[in-house]
Amino acid sequence: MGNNLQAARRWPRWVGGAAGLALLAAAPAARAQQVLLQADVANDTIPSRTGPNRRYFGHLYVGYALAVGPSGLGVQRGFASSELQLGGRLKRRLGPYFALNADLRYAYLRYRLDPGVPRPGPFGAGFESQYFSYHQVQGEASLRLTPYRRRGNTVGRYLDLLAYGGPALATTYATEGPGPSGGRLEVVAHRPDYLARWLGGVGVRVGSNSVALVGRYRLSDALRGAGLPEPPRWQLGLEVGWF
Amino acid sequence: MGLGLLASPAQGQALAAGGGVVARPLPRRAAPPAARYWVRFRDKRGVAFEAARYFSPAAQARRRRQGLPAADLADRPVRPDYVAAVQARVDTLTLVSRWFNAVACRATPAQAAALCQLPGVAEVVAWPVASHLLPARRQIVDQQNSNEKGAASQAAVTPADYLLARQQTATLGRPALSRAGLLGQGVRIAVFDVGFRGVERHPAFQPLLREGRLAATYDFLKNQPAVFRGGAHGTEVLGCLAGRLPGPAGPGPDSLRLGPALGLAPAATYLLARTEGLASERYTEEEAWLRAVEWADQQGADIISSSLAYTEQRYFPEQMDGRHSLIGRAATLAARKGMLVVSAAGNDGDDDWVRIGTPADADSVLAVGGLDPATGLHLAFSSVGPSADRRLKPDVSAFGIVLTCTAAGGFERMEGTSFAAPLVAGLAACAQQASGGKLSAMELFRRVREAGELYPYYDYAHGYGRPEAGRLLARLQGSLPAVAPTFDFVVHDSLVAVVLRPAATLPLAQPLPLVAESDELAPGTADWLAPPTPARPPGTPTATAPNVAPVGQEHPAPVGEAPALPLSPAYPARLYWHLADARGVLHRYEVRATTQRLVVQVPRRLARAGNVLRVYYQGYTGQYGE
Repeated sequence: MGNNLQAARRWPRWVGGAAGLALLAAAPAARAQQVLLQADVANDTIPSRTGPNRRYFGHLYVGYALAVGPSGLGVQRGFASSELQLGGRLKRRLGPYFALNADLRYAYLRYRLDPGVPRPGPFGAGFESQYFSYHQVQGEASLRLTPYRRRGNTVGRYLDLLAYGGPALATTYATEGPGPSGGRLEVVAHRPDYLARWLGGVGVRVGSNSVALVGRYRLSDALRGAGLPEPPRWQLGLEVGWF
Repeated sequence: MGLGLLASPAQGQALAAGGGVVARPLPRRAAPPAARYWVRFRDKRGVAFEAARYFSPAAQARRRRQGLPAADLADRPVRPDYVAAVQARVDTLTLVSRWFNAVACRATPAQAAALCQLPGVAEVVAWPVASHLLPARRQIVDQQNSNEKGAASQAAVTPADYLLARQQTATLGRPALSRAGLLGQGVRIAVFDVGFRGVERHPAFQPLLREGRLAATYDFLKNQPAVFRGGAHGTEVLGCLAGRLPGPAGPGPDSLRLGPALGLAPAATYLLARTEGLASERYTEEEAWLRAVEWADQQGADIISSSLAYTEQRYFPEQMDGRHSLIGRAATLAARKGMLVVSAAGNDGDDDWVRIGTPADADSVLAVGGLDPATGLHLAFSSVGPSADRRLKPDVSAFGIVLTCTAAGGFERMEGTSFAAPLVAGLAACAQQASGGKLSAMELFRRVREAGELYPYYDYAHGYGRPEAGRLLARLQGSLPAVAPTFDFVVHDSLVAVVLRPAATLPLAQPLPLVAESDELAPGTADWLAPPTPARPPGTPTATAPNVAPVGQEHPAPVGEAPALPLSPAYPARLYWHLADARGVLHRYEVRATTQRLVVQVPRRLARAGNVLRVYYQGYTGQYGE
């Protein structure tokens, strides 16, 4: 059902009639007809296999999480140390209570270091600003538990138990401070050895339809090398789905 | 929220008065989370029941008129010992339904399992509900502000809006009803909605209040009689049934007798029930609807106007068959009890859902779609059929863009199938009045469908089209005269062509402008109308909001240039055609403008094996099949 354009896209379903009517449409007499409303019921009423509470459901989402929890590295809190995620999710419904999710996403994780805290090398002192970051491709698998037995074609409320991981395609350590001969000195080190190449962890997500609260715990070390204190392993953030 | 209220003893008493529902406080104990269950009983043996005491005089009179028994088994109350046994074993009872001989309750799985062992329990099934209920949005309108807004809104009624107000009833045959003196007198219409804020103050409803035609009200969410609160959607819907524009002497209660009516049943008696919450879609609303429909039956309602549709928050499109939802089954039972349920089809025609919602999917419910006043054709946002089991839905159509009353005391142009439904409910009320109240619900249902402009042609966008009172009244008095054919099927080798007859291509006779009715404003007395605004050419489809809100939550129509409506409700002649199979299920349908005599050609093989090509043009329906 729909307007002319929508219905015109559905003509190919009329396998036999299409040829004849297409010929008619080419004739001057048929062209003069103005179709005000058109619907192909057979096509319009095909049950969908995809949807928020169907067998398959895919959607995009954006997430933002703050680094929280204890850390010996002395990182700045709040937006200075956080992770931004842009990704897509494919959900496979397993029944009224369970579903499996597979995510693929880009994640940008950054920890900004507090300049007033002494720390061992390779992180130097005397900078006004220093941070290190990871540009990652992450995969995530999660098991979704939905507490309600029955609902319509909506995602509803859910609890996800998740595990994620992925390579850091690019890592950066950057500092900024006064130069030795005046002015300002900005130093950027790309892919330094002490930043980990792989990150991964586990977490939990509690959501209602397109909004979710996410907590993650990083199991892998973000810094390579003995004796280096770890940045915060916990993240707490928000995800908003686009559907 | 609803459950919290049910748990309070004082409100439990109110429940008993309103719907026979009892409740008791939730005990504090550590237990698995309670879920909602539906407990159906086996029998009603030994239950004392006096129909004369339970039913109001109006309800008894309606049953007598329709030839229905004074009461049947479904009217008897649920056995108190069964109810008490369940109540003693569960956390909360939320609903006791005599029609379904069942209760809804909140219980743990262990409690539910124990219920199965009780004598008299036929089945215990999980009943879906959201456990974290959100409070309904409370909207308190300051009296002074509302009066000021009302004055402003009233002044904002433009000539185009005034014309729309006249057209929305004229297209359904208001002149014929006026001539027959049919204004819904003596018919009881129950309106179920989200709230009726401002009805008690709105000048348009003062005749209703002054003449005592507001028979009863009840809020089935809050369990109290007050319904002039909550949302204003009910006010807008009621405006399309009983609202009136100001009369010639200007605003004021005494002038309203002569004000043009916005609906077709301004003289009917009304029952107002609040069954719908504002904040979220909850299954408790369906329970409230069931309680309300049993209450309406008790109060003697003839017609129920229900402008709500539940869709994807609770159901899948393939469940829209009238049997999956509680509200659909309740509506079917209402028809068996002699009440015609008129329901909005839904506002999902241009979103992913597309289909009608429930209870419009029930086969006994008159589902009403929306028409564009500017073109007389289906509005894009109006939900389409068929039902999931391929029955025709919507049944009929009426204007989906209307002028109606607002909670602020004024008038506003609104869009949504919520407003098409009460327009048709008003027509049904007049038909019931014309029959002396003797038509059964399904007979009335059939009469309204047969009064459709397109009948016996139909499609899944318009149903049988716009019902018209003249046809309806004529059919009540006998059959309509046969219509002369307006086209022919011309059969070629492989095609069948539809060719208009020359006489049918002549311009249609245009009725005179509708200025002769008693409540029509004379030009000199309509000085309160705002100056005219630029209008788009007649026949231009009306631009609607990108996404019309779901039924029950509609907003005012987008502000912009109003479409220029034709002075009379006549639209250019269009040719409708569809291909149907032997069961009447449509495969395809179209509406075409007629700019030449050869309008459509269809391969003949599509009209074989029981399939038929059916065509409607200017009142005549013909079909071709091989």
